[in-house]
Amino acid sequence: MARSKSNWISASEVGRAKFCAHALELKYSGAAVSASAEKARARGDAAHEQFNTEMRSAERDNRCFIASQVYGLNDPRTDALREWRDSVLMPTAAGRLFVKVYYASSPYLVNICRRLSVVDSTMRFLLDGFRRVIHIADQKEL
Amino acid sequence: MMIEFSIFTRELVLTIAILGPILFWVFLKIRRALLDDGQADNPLGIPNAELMYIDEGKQTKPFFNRQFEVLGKPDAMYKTPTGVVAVEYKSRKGSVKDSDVSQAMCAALAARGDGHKVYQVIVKTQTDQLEVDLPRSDKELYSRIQQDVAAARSIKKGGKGAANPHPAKCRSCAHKSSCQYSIA
Repeated sequence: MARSKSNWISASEVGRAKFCAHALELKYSGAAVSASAEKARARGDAAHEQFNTEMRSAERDNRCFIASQVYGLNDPRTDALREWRDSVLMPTAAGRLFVKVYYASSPYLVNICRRLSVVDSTMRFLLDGFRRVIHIADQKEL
Repeated sequence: MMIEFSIFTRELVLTIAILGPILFWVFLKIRRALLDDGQADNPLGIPNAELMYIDEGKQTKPFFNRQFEVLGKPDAMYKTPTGVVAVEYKSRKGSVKDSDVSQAMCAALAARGDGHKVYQVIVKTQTDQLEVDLPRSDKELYSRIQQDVAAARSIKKGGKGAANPHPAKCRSCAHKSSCQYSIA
């Protein structure tokens, strides 16, 4: 009995066929799924969501670079600099270009900061000054 | 004049002798830091990578490769300086299986169909991780999974699927209760 005329096949079906072709046949024929398998699927979904969260968190860390290195990932000063980036830099083409260049170069600087405390202190001093210049410090204190 | 020059020379030599090694040490430190930038800030350990895609479940549409008529969604994709790395995550413990790799390759082929230059797949379980470099040509990539694709297509169209019983496989199979070959 033909189940489908379509040639299209999904990656998960390909994986199942490799795992056990008979299991795929049972799936297509509508064989019952055990309660334990349903529970395992729910656990798998939760684990996937957890993994997604980990990847997103790590990415956020990765994108905050110097401020995260100097102040800490979740520090209000880091958040304030992020807000400034999104509200002031990102709306303009020049700002976006600056952010792009910053993203490309700052991981190197972070690496140096991690290794040399004197560079870390200098970056902190410069960032504090920068925050004063763009009035972020004042805004956060209000 | 001669005396002044020699004093100047002596001071210059002294300055170089003192500052030279310090500057050289600073240069080496900076160079090492720059060359060592390979460290990654992601759970997969991919260097210089930017997360560009995450499978969010049902609201995320799959990629389609019209040439090979395969579709799929990697669990995540990272953009790196050399191309795209696709990630297949398995929440179970234990080693990566061949079927995981086939699935990951098929999803990568689908993503390539939508213009993403996937050059590597990473399959990760809770306790294991495998990186597989993909061939540049889509045709060659397809040839690596062609057998599995053909088997899946055949079963989808009503064909029979050969049982491949194995205690561990059967234990984790969702259809073990209705399978006559199950040795779970």
